[in-house]
Amino acid sequence: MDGQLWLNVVDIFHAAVERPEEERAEFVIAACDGSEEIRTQVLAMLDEDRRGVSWLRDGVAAAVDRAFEDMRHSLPFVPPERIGLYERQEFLGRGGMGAVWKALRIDTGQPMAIKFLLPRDRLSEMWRRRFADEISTLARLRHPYIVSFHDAGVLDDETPFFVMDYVEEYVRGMRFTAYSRLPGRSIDERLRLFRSVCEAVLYAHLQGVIHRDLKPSNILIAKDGTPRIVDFGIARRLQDAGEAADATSPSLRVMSLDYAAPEWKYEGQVGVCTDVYSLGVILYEVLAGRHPFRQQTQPQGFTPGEKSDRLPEKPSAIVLRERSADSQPGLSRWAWRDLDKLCLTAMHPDVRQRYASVESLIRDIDHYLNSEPLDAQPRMLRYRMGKFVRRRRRAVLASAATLLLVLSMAALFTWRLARERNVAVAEAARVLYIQNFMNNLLQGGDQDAGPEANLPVTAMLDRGMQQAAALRGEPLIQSDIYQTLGTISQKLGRLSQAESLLQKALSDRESLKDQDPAGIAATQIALGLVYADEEKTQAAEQLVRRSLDELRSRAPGDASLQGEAELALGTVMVTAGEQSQALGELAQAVKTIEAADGPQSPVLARALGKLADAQIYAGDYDAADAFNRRALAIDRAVYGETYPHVAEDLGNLAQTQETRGYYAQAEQLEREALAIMEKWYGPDHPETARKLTTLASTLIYEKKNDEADNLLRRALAIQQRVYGPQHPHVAYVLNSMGAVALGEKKFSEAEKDNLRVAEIYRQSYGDGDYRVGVALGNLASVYQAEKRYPECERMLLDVVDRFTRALGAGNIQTGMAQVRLGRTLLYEKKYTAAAKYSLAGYESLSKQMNPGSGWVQGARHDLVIDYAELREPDREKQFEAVSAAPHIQAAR
Amino acid sequence: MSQSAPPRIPSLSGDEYKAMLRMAESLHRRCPSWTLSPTALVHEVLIKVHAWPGLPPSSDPHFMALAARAMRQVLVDAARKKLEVKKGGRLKFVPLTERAQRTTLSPVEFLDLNQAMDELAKMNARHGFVVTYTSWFGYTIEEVAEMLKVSTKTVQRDLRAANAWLASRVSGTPEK
Repeated sequence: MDGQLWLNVVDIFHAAVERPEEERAEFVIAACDGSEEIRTQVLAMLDEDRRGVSWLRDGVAAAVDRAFEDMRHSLPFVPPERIGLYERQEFLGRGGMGAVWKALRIDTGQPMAIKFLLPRDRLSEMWRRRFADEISTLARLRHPYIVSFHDAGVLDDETPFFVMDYVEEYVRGMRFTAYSRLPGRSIDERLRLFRSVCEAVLYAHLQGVIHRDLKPSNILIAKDGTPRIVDFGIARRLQDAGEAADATSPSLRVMSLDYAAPEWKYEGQVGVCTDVYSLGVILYEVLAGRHPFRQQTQPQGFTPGEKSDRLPEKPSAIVLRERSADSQPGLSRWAWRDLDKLCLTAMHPDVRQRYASVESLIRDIDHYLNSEPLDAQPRMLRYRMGKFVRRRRRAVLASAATLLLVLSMAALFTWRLARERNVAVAEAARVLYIQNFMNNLLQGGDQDAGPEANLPVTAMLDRGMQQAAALRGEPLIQSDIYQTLGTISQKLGRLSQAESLLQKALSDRESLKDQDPAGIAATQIALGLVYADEEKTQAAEQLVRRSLDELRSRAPGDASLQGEAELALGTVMVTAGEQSQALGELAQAVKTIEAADGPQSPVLARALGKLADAQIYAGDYDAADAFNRRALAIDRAVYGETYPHVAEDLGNLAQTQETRGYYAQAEQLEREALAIMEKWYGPDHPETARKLTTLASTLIYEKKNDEADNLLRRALAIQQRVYGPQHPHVAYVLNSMGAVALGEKKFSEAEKDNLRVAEIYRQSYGDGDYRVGVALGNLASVYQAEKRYPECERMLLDVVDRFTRALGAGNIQTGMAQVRLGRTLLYEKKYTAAAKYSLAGYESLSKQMNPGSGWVQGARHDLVIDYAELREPDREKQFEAVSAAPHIQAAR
Repeated sequence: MSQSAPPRIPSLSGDEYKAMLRMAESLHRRCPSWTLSPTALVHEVLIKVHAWPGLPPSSDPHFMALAARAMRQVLVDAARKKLEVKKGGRLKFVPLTERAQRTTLSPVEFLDLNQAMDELAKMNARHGFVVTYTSWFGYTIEEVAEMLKVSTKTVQRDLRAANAWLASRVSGTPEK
């Protein structure tokens, strides 16, 4: 009805009520002048007027009263005027847990807020006694955005209370969401405000305290516009109390279910992720202006049922639809896409797809604010693993490759944290602690200073040991750190240090009263792998098998760890030379890990890589190739296209191709790998140099010596600059340069290169190390090409001797050196000695290598000549026969 | 944290605030059983009002109308929340016969009434204002007359017509 029509209706109505009742209908019909609409309206109004409309007025009052009846029961409790040190002042408000009163601390005159927990009769006796102790733990929390606890106690009537900061509010009763949405605030400003809340929550998590009941009404706004989170950890205490008092409805009394994560609501599982979820819902309200599962933004007290484990509408959809009320001009579709993702990742109903920690949530907020791509955006799993490293990419760029190792391990911790569905609070805090510890390792403990560019590994490990030693009160964390440091040492080739660290971690874990079978097994696995590296294969296999047995009997649920144990066992078997058994064990590991962690876990990629290696050994290159490709696909999904692990996978694929003689394919793969390294580390990084060298060696096979030489010179310049002239990394490049020079018949250059390699290895690893032998062997090749046979002979005799001492008489390297020595002696026409070494080499190699290989065939060919010259026709024939029927030999 | 965009909340000593506090206190007198203090209610209203663009100063008569609407909104939200809890229900008209004996509004009717109030305010702002301040906030007819600078007789006449119409709407009389 429009305004004019309404005025007509009102006029006729007033005129009608002036008349006696029985005349009114007739009057109205006449006055309406044929308008049925006016007539119907006025007649209805007259009817109501006759009945009386006072019910309307009373009804409104009653309805309003009823609407607020929830708030009615709060005042019967009035605390005494003096409570210990405090003088009670005015009533401030009430929440789900109790009533809050302002109070004055008498000695200091400071205003405080006291919360009295109600209703009193629901709290168990035992809980009341423990209450003050518990609060004092929480009182450790000191953060500018957290309302601190100061004191706690019980009144004479046993009402528990605690004393906290009094917050002079920006506007009394105005909560976080409303404040953040005040008109004129940009999305960025709202996010920054939200971020400061996250900061405070993260701080608490690092202290091992989880809020459990984050919601807008628990976030006050102080006079200066900064947030103050109240009731940290209280929900936990109250839930414990609720469970004791009323086991059938734990926590429902105090928790606000609108902001509670599904796994917490339905299964009672709590971790840092629980708070992440609540923060996500709050962020949703900050962005969209309303609760994701409710139509109206209203505070607690309302049960949404089982709705919140579905995904809500995207915040952007709501904002765009309701643009009139809250327009945010200038936000692009892409910006909204990120905001949607950020928010819905934080409040994802599935823990595994949620941000694993508040830290990662903050990181993505920062990404958004800095217009960087979100970690959460491309793919969840990839985000999980990669985010840690990506954020510290500069740290990685600035320092040596060791850092990547440490970072990858830290990322693995993040991933493990996310993998655990049942993260206990303590567990979560521990993992966070380790993550933090890793950070500090890299950053020299100073968060603002950035990484030390040339932090020596030793210094880094020493610092880690010191920190670990200081953690005597936290044996679990201490063992975790020893184990982590041990694994780092192992990867860096410091095996004895790794061994002692891991042994310490293991004995510490075993001596704990509450043994953690999974933790013990994990340490056993790590230690077993170190033993394997130390060639203590028997001890290694024993230990890993023991861990596997323990896992199967004491922690049968932990299939992931079982898979890792199987992987370790397979790895140990490879080291022990039990190739065929290893193949079976690794295949089993792949199966177990895939079943436990799904098809895209980084551990699975590692297992597939091992299995591929084993297949190469077994000669099944197709299988190896297939496994390597799967590993590559996983790493691409997990880490993204441009990540060093992906380059490593490409390198493995290239190696298989190279072994099969497919040099062009190998070259292509190496180039892809190099491109990744250049992009990730930049053109002047040692890791890039390493890939330059690998590509060059493939090019050498293809006789593309010019390009190989160019690449190697680049690599050499980098490695010398980074590591100095006397470093194995430099030697590695020089080794390939020697090969190029030899191929180009630049003998003196080749000689110089190889001599330098030998010298570097001697200084780095000691004179007895087999690598010195490798370098001298290459030097011998130069002499041989120059036809300087006596020098070559002397050199190879030395090499055979070195390999025999360092690696054993039956070793493949020894065998190859023997074959080469035999060839040299043959050239010198010293047939007796030649036959001796060729035979020894032949016998050794034909056991270990494909009989068709050049080494075996070459030795046999030499032996035929030797025995012919020595006039030993029987032996000559024996080796000729083999030569005449190579296919038989090959089939044997 | 930056304070770069100062929010446009009226100062708590300002005229707007006083005006609204008065409104809340009047409402509070009518519902003595609740402990939601008038101050807290005003803050609820402030939050609502400040989600709206272009709030006029308190000297503007329009301000009181806007504030009233916000206040009403707060009350209705609370009622709606309860209704959702009870029925998860939609608003629907309640037949006349069922209402005849009752002296109070059901939650559904209350929400219907709120909707009708919006229509009324659209048809005639003064009529809407009068009903809001009397029926909802418990102001006396004299107080409302003073605010609107009209005679008490006018307020009475407005109120009678408006209430009759509202009652017909809430009772489910069909509208053409």
